[in-house]
Amino acid sequence: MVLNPSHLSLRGKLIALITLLISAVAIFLILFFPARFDAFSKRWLERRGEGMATVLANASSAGLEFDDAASVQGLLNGLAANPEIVYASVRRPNGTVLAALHPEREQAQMPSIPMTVTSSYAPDELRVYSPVKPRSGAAGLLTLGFALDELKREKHAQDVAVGWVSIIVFVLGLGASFIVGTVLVRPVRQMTDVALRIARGDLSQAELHITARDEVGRMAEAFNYMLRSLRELAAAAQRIGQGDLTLRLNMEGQLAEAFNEMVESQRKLVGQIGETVIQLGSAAAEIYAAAQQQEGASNQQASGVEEVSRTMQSLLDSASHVATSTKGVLTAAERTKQTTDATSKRVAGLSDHTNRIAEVLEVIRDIADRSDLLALNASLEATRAGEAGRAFALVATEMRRLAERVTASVQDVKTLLADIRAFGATTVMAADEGRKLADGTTESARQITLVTQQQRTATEQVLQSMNQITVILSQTVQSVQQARSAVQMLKTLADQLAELMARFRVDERSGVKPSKAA
Amino acid sequence: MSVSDRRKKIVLLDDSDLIRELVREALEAEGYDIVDTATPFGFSNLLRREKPDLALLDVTMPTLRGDKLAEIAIQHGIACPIVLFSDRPAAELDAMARSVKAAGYIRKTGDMDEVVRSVARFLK
Repeated sequence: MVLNPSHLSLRGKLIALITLLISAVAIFLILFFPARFDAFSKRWLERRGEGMATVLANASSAGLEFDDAASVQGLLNGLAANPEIVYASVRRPNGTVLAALHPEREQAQMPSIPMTVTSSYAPDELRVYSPVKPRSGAAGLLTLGFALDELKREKHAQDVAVGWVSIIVFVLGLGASFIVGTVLVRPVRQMTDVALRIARGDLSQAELHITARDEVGRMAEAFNYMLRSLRELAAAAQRIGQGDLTLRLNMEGQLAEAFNEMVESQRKLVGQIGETVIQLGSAAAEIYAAAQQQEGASNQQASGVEEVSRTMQSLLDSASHVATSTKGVLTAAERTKQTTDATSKRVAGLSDHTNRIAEVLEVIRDIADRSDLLALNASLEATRAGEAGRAFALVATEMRRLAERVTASVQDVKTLLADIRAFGATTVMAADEGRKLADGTTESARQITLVTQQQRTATEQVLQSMNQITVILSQTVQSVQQARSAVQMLKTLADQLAELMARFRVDERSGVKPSKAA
Repeated sequence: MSVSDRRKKIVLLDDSDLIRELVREALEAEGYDIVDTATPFGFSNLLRREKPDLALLDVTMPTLRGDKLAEIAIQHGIACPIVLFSDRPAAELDAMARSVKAAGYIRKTGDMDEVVRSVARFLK
């Protein structure tokens, strides 16, 4: 598992950092101080050993010069009280031992005699060599062996102490780092919480109360400033949401600029839409009114056409009546003509009879004239005959009277005949007139029938056309109604749009002016 | 009337070409600017666009009656005075103008001088 430092919390990072620092200090303590102590104590031992060796060398120089082993041994024995000293020896220049303390413990080979005091470490001891310079003659060698046990014990104790101190420092540091980390991180965590709530869109939380003057405090201040700006922005957005497009943000920066630009372009757009909506509204109202008027006109037209249709129908009925009546007239006229013809024939027959009667009357009148003449002659003869002829004369007179009466009657009959003939002529003329009239009536009736037939056909065609017109007109009325309702919807929509637009405020005086159309 | 600093503008709506021609000639001779149209559609928007000082509006038109049109225009916020212009009886025109809240009426009598005088009266 790889530990990615970017996954650690800030507190974790702080704690890790401080822990690392304290660990470094502890390790430093553990590594540096014991080593330093060790070096120091070694140096101290060296100096002490070298000092001691120098003093002893000086003290034993006379003993070496005179090869007085006893005095040198005495000096060395004086060292026996010192537990540190493991062994000691003084050698002559030729390497032989003059005097020695615990010579069995000395294991090292004799080195060459150094010019000054020197020291060297063996695993368990410090060896110090010092030249013993007599006032005359070659220098001898003093060797001192110091035990390092004490030093090692001291070092161990020191190590333990340093270890404890390190552990305490580490633990305390760890605790402190926890506390410091928590204290330092708390405002950051508060800000994180606030930022998260802001990110979720909640701007209602209180501002941060961090009084510190440090970077965190300034960060909190910046945070509060940002919160206030966001609140202002949100309030502005809310007002825009309610349709107020007159506001401008008095803030600096790209966001405010973009916001103001957005509001400005929206204001312009809404203004333009408002203008369009006003125009649309009045245009829709005009079209709607026109559609209403058209609908009324169409309905009137439809009822007009219906009336014409009815009139046409009654005209057709009348034509039918006329046709029937004309047929009757035709029949009557033909019968009249026939009757008149018969009358004419009869009158003509009567005239023939009258002529023959006149001929017979002429014969009768001729006979009467002759009878009168004969009666006159008879009367004259009777007169001449005298008395004997008197009776005959009376008869003759009577006969003359009779003949005269016949002649008078014939005259009367002739007058009557003339009357009859005149009447007959008049009748014939009247019959002729009647026949002509009947002929004319028949012709007229035929023509009326023909015309009526034509009229009926024409009327039927007109009626058919009117019916078609009615169908088309009713379709037209329907279309006009549909158009009217469509335009009504358009007008309603335009009005609604105008009402919606009225919610926007685009200048200080008023918004898009609502137009309340009836 | 003399030509003032700003020529007064009059919008004329009449479906009769002859009437439009006559009225235009008579009013232009008096120094008015005339914008005329034969169609009632877009009348309100024409007034909005032209912003005339007066609108003369024929009443009897086949597509849309002038009084109705005036009512629509006034309801849709047209501030310009609208005068009904018709040969209908004066009483009827008066009632019509009152009903639609028009500025008034001018009768078409054929007497163009009377029309010009009436227009001047409305523009005062």
